[in-house]
Amino acid sequence: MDHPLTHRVHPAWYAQSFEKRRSALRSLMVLASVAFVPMARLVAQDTAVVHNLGMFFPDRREHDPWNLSLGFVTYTTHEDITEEVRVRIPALDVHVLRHLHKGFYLDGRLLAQGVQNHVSAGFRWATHLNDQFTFSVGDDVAYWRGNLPIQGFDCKARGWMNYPGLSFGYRSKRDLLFTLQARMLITTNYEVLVGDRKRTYNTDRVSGSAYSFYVEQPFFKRSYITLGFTLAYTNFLWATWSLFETFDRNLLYPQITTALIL
Amino acid sequence: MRSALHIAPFLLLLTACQKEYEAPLPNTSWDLFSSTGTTPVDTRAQGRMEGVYAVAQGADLVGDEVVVKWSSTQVGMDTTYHVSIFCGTNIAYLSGEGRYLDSTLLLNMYWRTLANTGTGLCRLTITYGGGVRALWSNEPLGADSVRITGAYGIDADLPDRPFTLHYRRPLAQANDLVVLAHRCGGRNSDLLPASENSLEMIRLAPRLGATGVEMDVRLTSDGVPVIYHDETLNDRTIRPCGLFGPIGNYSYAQLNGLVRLINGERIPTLREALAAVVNETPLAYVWMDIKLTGSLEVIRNIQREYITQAQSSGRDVHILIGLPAQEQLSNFLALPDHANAPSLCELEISDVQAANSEVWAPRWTLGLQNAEVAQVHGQGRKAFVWTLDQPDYVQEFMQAGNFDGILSNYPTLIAYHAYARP
Repeated sequence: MDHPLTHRVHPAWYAQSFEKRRSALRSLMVLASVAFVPMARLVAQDTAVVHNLGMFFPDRREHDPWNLSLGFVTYTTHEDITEEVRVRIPALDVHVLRHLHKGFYLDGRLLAQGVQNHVSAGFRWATHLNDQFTFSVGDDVAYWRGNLPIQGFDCKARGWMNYPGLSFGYRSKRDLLFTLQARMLITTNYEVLVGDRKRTYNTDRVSGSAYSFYVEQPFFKRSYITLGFTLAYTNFLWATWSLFETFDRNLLYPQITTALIL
Repeated sequence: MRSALHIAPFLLLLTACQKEYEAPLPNTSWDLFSSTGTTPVDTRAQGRMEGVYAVAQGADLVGDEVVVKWSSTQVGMDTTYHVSIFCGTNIAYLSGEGRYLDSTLLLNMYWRTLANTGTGLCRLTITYGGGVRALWSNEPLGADSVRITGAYGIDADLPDRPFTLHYRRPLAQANDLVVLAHRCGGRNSDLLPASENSLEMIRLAPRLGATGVEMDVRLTSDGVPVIYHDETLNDRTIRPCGLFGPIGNYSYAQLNGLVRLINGERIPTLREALAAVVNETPLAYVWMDIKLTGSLEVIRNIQREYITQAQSSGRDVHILIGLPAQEQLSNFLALPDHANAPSLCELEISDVQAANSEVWAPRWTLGLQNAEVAQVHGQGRKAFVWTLDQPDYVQEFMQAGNFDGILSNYPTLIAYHAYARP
């Protein structure tokens, strides 16, 4: 019997519910995609494609075969893990988009910190719902790797993630681009090496979800800037692997994104 | 600027949704257990009941095998006995008390899963034919000779899920692994029923399977050593009281009068903490993690006083001055009798030798280091590893490592592996 929706649940319920939630979220994603296809087609045929330079804003990108941005993403750790020290982990953010065909495009992103790096690639399909509203759906596969040969640590780790997601965009009359994005964070597997002892975790489960709000706006000449805020509710965040937290609870990790779109 | 203004409300909205995790223990009142006809469980039966048990029902919660262990705490002339069940799954444990009702043994317990917020009641019995007769006899216990049956519930619900244990074998022989409880038992984020670094947590530690505790030592502005982890007073460690900033800016009288830990306890002095260990618990090791940066003379004097007090009580309690960094090592070496002061050094083995430390304690993220451990063993010292919480690596360190002690936020998990070793 499922426990009522409260965070104090039987551990066995967690295991069962991960599968149920994963399946339910997948169904939701598919339904949302299917529902938007006919609506988008109806609207899109009469809507002029608007040129823009947003990286997160869902757009068909037919006038911009390539988009590139450079910036930083900063992760903040949770106090349950790092306690009074709120560690902020900045990462260089290189983001590339490549238009393919009829609203399909590739999204590639590198988050680099030197000692740990994360690269992702995936497809998007975007459409214009009307002059102001846009929508996209996509999925990214990510690989991350960390290496900590520093004092007190002799650890390495690497893993695979999967991020299916939806984005809704709104273009204001002042040419501000607003994007709301929701993504599932699926930990496919990861491997940790401490000293010479390796452990592999084939989790393949939904670790949590991330909700982002991006504003992209004209900055200088033809360039745009991105300011974004993300809240990841997850029980595993790749950037904090070296903290070896053991909680089976979703913790909140805020992330701030700033980027210059070139 | 415009963008920032748009993001701010979103940020406020979403951060306000952050979940505060809690795991309040359920009310363990049980009329049958507290009825006038019940009597305490004798220590002989307690000792015979200890062992490794197969889990016939309830494996979802605790795994296929558990360890049953009794412990005691003493306040004045009163000794209280507790029964604990340590598990290898879900970082779960059960704790409670036992009493006879006629010839039936009742166990009134609660359970917790430390990785998340799971908790609930557990009521168990051993009938005369189901094990009490075997506990009272002089015959060695055989497999299935003791059957513990009952049920557990979730949160405050009455127990309704079957839970059955069958005796399998005695606890591991020659078990000399030191089970050290981090911050006297665990962090505040582990949601234990007592605050980290409190007297209540020290008293709880034996029930969590600990045979030693680690505590953080800081100085107040008037030079009183107190037990407190963070550098500052903050909402992670204390209840809101209007005081904030470095703990070293406050006198002991201010802390004692105005500050309460997250579960309502006072910040204890080092003296109170050591007195609790020596006089109220069977704990054999104290790792004083020195957070202060000045002279260690006051710490050394208190250490000497309580080692003497333990010896006069016939107890062998290892009270160790922990040396986490070069600064503390230098201050320790400046003590006139440092070579005779029991210490634990987290630095290089050469530093351990310089301080003549009883224990070398490297961080677990350096791996097993079997060669280095053998080296310190060759010098007649012990090796403890810290702070090991990862269940997979706990197993790995237990099976392939040679450490004499493990410091963990999950002493119940370490205790399970220590006592369940084949």
